[in-house]
Amino acid sequence: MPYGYLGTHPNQQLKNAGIIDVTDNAILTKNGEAGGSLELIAQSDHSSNVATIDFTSIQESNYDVHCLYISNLAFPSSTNRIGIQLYESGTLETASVYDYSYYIGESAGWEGTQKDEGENFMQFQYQTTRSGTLGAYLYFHNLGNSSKYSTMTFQQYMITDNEDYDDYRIGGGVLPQASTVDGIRVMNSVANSFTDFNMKLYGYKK
Amino acid sequence: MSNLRLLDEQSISSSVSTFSVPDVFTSDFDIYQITATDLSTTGTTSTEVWLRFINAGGGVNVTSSYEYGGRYFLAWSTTSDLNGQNQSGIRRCFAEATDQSPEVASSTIWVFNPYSSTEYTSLLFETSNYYGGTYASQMKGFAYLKRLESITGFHAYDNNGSRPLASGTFRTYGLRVDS
Repeated sequence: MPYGYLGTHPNQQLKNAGIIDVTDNAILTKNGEAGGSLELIAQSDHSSNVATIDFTSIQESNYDVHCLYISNLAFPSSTNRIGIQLYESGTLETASVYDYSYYIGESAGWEGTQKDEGENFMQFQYQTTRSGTLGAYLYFHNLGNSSKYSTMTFQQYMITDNEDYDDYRIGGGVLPQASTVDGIRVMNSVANSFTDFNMKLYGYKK
Repeated sequence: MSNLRLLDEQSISSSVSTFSVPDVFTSDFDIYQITATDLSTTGTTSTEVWLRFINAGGGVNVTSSYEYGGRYFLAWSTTSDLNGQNQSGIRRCFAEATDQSPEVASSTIWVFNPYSSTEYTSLLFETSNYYGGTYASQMKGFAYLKRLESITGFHAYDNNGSRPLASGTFRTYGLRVDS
């Protein structure tokens, strides 16, 4: 295995500097090992204002690790809690079963924590009065594993529309239920409509 | 096509207190990503899972050369800082704590310059965990290995050697950088 891909141990026996030539590519393609390992599963871009963004074809049997990149998620004032809910075998889990916790750092200097057990979503932003825009990445593990809990970590940044407040948040959450998760929903607690967003869901090749 | 390339995949298939993934870092890449999924223990007592590096000679580096800092976030309590200097491993790098299935820990780790013998190896990590029947936690941190030596792999171990790991899959990816 001269390319550093899955195969005979030890790996990467020959140096390739991360570059493959035409012949390499042909062999890797034939073996189903060509291409990048961060594979785009789905994309959702704003076309109208909606309160929820769903990813319901996440190929959970193909990937153990998913990454959701959120850009430009614009929310109106009084949106309150923004978070994640998960679909289990096609049914959205809305019960008070999620746990989450994260750290908040503000450019104004304040820092703190938000957390909850037995919530009906995994929160990653909370604004009571301000409107604003956020970006984030979120890692999900074990979504397709019916015998294990599903976990999430994230990092997020946000600035309000009138630029009087901005923060970053790092943390994550758990759905402590052994189930097959086959969908991801981005939502907020008061069903306000998001006015802009660009999201891409990736899977880590295994 | 993304520039992230799957290099290696190793899974725990029987109860072990330590698990090594050798020969994954080479001169081919400077930056790597490790995903550790599905970490659960054999018994019902939760345990932390730490990381050490493996050097080019194949030995696990147990010297007191690790430095780390981070913060963990607890769904049931306030956040706490975690830090250490001149330690023999990177505490809680793979799991703040994990427990028997279906409870689980998962982590995502970036590793920088492991193969270079002229730069320190460093990493960024984040974990999400559930253990003890009721405890959900997350953690985010960084670490350095303060030794100028070539690192070719990594090593996961439960922190007290008596609460073995029953499952877990470690995948290593290289990040190609076009010049």
